Amino acid sequence: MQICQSLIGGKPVKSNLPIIEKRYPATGEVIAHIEPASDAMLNEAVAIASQAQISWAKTDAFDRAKILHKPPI
Amino acid sequence: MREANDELAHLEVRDVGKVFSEAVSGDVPSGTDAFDYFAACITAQNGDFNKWDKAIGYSVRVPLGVCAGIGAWNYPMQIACWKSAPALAAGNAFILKPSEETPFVAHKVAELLQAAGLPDGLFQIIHGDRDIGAALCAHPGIAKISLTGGVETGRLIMAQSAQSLKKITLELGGKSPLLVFEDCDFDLAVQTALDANFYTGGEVCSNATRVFVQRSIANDFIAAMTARTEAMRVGDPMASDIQMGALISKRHLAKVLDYVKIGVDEGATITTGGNALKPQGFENGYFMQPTILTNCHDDMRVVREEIFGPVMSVLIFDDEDEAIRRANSTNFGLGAGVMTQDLARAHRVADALESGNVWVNSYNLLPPGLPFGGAKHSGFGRENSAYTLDAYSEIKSVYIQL
Repeated sequence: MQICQSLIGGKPVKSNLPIIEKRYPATGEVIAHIEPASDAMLNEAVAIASQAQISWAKTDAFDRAKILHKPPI
Repeated sequence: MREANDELAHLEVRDVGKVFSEAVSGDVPSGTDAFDYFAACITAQNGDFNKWDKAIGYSVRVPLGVCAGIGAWNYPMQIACWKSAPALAAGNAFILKPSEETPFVAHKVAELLQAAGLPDGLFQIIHGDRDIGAALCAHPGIAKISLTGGVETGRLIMAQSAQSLKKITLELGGKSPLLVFEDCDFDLAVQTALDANFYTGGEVCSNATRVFVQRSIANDFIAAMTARTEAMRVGDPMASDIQMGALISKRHLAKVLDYVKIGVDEGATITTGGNALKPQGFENGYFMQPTILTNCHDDMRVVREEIFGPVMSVLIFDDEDEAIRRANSTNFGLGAGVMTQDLARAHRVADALESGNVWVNSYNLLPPGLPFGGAKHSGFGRENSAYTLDAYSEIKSVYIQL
């Protein structure tokens, strides 16, 4: 069973809230368990985002653009 | 993302149940296009300059800070990219809450962005249902919400975002009209009407679910649509000879089938389809036949309300003014289509339709340079085009006394 966890600061983060079942529409089969984020996890994500955004906003537009359409490694 | 196109399309199929052939050629490349487009756009963005006697002023676009996207379940790749690409290009951090029906594809997008060198913390994923959606809207540290969803969700998000005075973009539902005039290219119009209703199992906000056909060609048009619809194969989304996959969930399938029943109770005729399907090997999936309802009139619920499934309502009109008036007689205003070979009529009708987007002799084509979004209750703000960068930034003006 695949587990889908929120991605916070580049890493999957475990949650103890009741899982949400994800079904494949073509078979009705449960193919993943989604762990819903808690309010504390959201607060952490917003704090991390706010911090990361400061240097991102200072990055020249041209350098931001080079990351956004660079092909995968 | 280009190299991972097939893998992203597989994930999109697992998420949505739509056919692979659509995901691989439509949704996924259109998401990737957004990164190319907005990366190029941001390098071309300039500010404004003013000059007065003994003073000058300039204004520049500055990012909002942390922006969030709340996604619908029909186009998870496109939604993730159409919102994050302009947000990131404009210098924001982005938090995505995918629909709880479609958790997969966003994680691959995140992985690819990380591999491309995007610093951690700029693209994050928060899973959950409307509870965490409400928390996103209420959060004082988030400056903007961009929602793709239904009208009721739009109202809710707007209300929940009021206290923290968030900037909002709402990409909501529709009940879009397609106007088929007697001077159209008949074969093109038939295929356009079907594509505009049955693509992604009809789970498309801008679909043209009210097909207005001019009386002189109506019988032939309905017969041609019916024949082509009956030749469509529904089943395994991964099979190459399948044109329509599954609907998103058991509950949604039941809702769509219930609408068909409501239509029949109101006096509509099922010309083709109308039933759930159990394709061999996929008996527990959420499949139904592409469905055409005729003998419809403008006051029916199936004609007024968004069904979000493969259910087309056919309406007959006599002249252009009547077609325009009836097409506009709705609170929605997302898409509209005009099928005609008369150039003057095409422009005249496109001008008269109350809609954020009008397609002439085509439908649902969304190149990244063309703004996309709704008029009236179909929402506000636009996605695609350089205008979207404005929605993820604000203007800062500086006045300098000389």
